[in-house]
Amino acid sequence: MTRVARLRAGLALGAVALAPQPAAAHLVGVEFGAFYAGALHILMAVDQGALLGAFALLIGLQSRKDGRWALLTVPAALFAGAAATAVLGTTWPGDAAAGVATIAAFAVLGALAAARACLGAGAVALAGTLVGLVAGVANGVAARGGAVDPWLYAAGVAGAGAVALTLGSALAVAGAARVPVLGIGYRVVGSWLAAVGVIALGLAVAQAGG
Amino acid sequence: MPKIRFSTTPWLIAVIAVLPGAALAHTEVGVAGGLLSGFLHPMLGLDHLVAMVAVGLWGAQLGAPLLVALPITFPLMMALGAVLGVAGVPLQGAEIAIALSSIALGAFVVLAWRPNQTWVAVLPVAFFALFHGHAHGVELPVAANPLAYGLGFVVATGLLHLAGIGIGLLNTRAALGARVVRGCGAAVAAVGMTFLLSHLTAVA
Repeated sequence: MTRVARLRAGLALGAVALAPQPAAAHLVGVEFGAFYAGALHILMAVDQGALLGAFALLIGLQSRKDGRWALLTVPAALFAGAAATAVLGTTWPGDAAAGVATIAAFAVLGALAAARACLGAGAVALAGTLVGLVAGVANGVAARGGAVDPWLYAAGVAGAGAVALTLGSALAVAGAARVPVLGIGYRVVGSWLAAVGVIALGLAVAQAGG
Repeated sequence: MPKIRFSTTPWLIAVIAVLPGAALAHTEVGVAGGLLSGFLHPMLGLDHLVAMVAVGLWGAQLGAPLLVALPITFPLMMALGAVLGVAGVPLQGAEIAIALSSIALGAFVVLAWRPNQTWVAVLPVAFFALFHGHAHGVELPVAANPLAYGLGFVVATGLLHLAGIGIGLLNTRAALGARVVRGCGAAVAAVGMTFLLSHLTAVA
């Protein structure tokens, strides 16, 4: 190849490489977009983070044998709650009611952690189901209207929620086992979450009342 | 003719001083605004601040289990008080009770009072926390994000308790630690006394 031919080939390659392409900043063109939308929805909301965090703290204060039940029930309930709300598209609960239920749930979990409640396997499983349903419905509310595939969206919510809870509770359990004083810290943070929930509920009700 | 000497430093300072800053004429809203507003609320009132630090000081003096029980009780009861304030439920003499809380908690620290029963120590802290929460509740900004406001408010309170615990741990870990802690208690009580006299003078 002559020097001129190599130069032409290089310019052609450079032109192809620099040719403008459609921007792909959003996942709408990807088949799995609804999945990521669901995953991000539960991970990016402060109230959802507080709910999963409060439950992880409570699991950290239980025995490992009892705590494992939450890891079974929460993902299933998350999927059921998100899918039912997104597929059925019911007008109830509204955004505000779902938010209030989430705040009330983490306030109760925080109070249980502050009281160092030992729940037992059955109560952990029941609490996991309720937490999953509340969080699932609160996330499913955003997917009503048919803009996204509700099944993929619910799978994203359940998958991301399960990973977050598993990592959070594993950290809490391992931390308490290695540094026993962390158990005291969990109780204090639990009381903070309970107090935040009570204040937020009071303020939300006051704002709703005008 | 004398030579006039110019120094650039005063001019530079003057120019920087008159540079326009960003105007903050509006209450911040949204998550960030609510968080900031809630966080600053307990920090900006000296009577609230010293009482919350005193809870930590006394808890550290008393040790376990009250080291944990007092900082758990205070935010929970304060939250209940805030809800009463938001709901418009009146608590008579709230400002005087807040000043008395600083005097009482400061006195407990100065005297290094150790109640025989846990509930005897928890009760006054819970009682005073209700008034602190109520005072904040009646001033809650309606525009704030409720969750972010609550988060900022409670985290600030918890950090003030932690600051008190941090100082209170000097009680057993430094040569003059016990005196320093008692001195801090005296300062808290003095601030409370100042606020009490101020309120009583205003009432009179």
